[in-house]
Amino acid sequence: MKNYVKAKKLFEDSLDTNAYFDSISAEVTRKKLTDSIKDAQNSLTFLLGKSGQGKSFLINYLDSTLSNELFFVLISHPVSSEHELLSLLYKKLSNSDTSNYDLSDLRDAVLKLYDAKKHIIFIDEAQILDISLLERIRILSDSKSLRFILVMHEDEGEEILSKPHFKTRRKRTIHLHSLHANEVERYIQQTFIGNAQGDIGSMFTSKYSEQIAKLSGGNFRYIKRFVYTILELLEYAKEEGIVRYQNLNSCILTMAALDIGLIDE
Amino acid sequence: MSNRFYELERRCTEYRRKKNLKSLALGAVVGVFLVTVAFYAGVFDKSQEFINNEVEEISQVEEDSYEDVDSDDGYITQTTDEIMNEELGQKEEEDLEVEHVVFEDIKDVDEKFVVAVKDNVSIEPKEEVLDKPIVKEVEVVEKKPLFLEPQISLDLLKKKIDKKPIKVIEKVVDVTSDMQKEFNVSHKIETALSISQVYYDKKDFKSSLKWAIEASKIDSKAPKPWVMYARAKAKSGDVAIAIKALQTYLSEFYSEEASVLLDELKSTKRLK
Repeated sequence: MKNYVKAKKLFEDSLDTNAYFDSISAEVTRKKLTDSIKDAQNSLTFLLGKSGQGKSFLINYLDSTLSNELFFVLISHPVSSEHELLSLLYKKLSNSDTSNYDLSDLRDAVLKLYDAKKHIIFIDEAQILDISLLERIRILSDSKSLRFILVMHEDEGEEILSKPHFKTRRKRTIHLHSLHANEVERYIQQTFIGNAQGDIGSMFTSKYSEQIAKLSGGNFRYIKRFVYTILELLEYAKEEGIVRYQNLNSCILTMAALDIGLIDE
Repeated sequence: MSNRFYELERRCTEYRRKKNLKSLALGAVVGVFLVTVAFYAGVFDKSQEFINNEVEEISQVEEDSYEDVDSDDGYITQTTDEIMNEELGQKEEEDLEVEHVVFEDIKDVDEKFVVAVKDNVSIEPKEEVLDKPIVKEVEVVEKKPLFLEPQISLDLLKKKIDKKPIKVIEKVVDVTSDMQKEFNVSHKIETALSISQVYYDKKDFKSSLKWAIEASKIDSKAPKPWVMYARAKAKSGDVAIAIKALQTYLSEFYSEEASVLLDELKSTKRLK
């Protein structure tokens, strides 16, 4: 019996690390990030990837797997100044109020605090930070007391890295790439079969998986939305008894692609 | 969801229709492009051009062969091709009526008379009075060598050939009908050459020439039809034309047989 309600939940956009898919690109990136984190000489790393590629998911996955070894700080909301950033870092580790500190004192306190603890600071969506703040982060990382991984969208990140004050500095850049076509099929099948939805999974043949991969460009977020929309349409057709759409076909696939804007009319 | 579903279905149908139209249009454009490229790349060029030229020239030859023009001065004017075709028996109608021509002793013949006898009819001479002697004027058009038939010397043909009234008596020829039937089926050069040889042996040089040309049409580069033609032509008395034909062939191709025959014919001409 096809349970579309349960199947749809598998493709909702979430950061559930149990759903980590070991694609080649994700595994390579994870390995590089782990090495970078463990390398004491490297205090500033950039993780670049297109939107929806799975950067945030990967950070959360690393958090869940490496949290026993080091102190993880994940800043996923935008910060506007060095003071705000330092206050946040100070509170994460000491749980103390920083209102009595001026910037210079706060900086010294944070550096002293983090220097004594093995840590890594992730800043998600770092491309939206002000360029002067990014410059301050670079200077803080030069002290080796604070170690950052800045997660950015590919294009904006490349632009920031091309600026003189980053171009000439020691840094590490890691790219997260999209899924290959055969990985898309494996991901879909693995997700369905791993959650006892093999009946639905069997409808996603190689032919349809290839089309999904092609239209989504191997982008994780698009793949999830694509499959979710397909399941939504199939669910409706089943409820309404529309015979021609009881199984996945190219028309359903096109309808879903049109719905989420993967096809230009 | 209902509206959304059916709206998506409508958009899907429209999208696929447009996609199919695009594919068709693209296919048509690609097709036109490929044909254009093929055309300019010369896929059809030289061989086709050569064939076309040949066909055109043959058509022109045939067209010329069937045009008789009476000139204003009362002379019967004929082109090179007409003379050739007449001599080589390419006018089928004439062939039916006059199978062979024998030159009688013209001393005994009234200059005003010519006698023609129809085929398979009791040999009763039919007489016609000619007011003027037949004069054949040759018009020569200079053109590229056409390998479907031997060429004729321009110098030789640029002259008027006076023909005195002659007495013509029909001679019924035993046609090698079986071989001709076989040729009509197989269309082999060997068969055509065999027929030509049979006529040659029977001293029917006109028919021999005709079949040599038939053989040449099958393979214009083959030396044997040219040699056969030259031999028959020489036996007909047109040694100069025979030599010219061989020279034309040897200017394009090499054949020991043709070369030897050419030498023989040249020496024969010198002796005369």
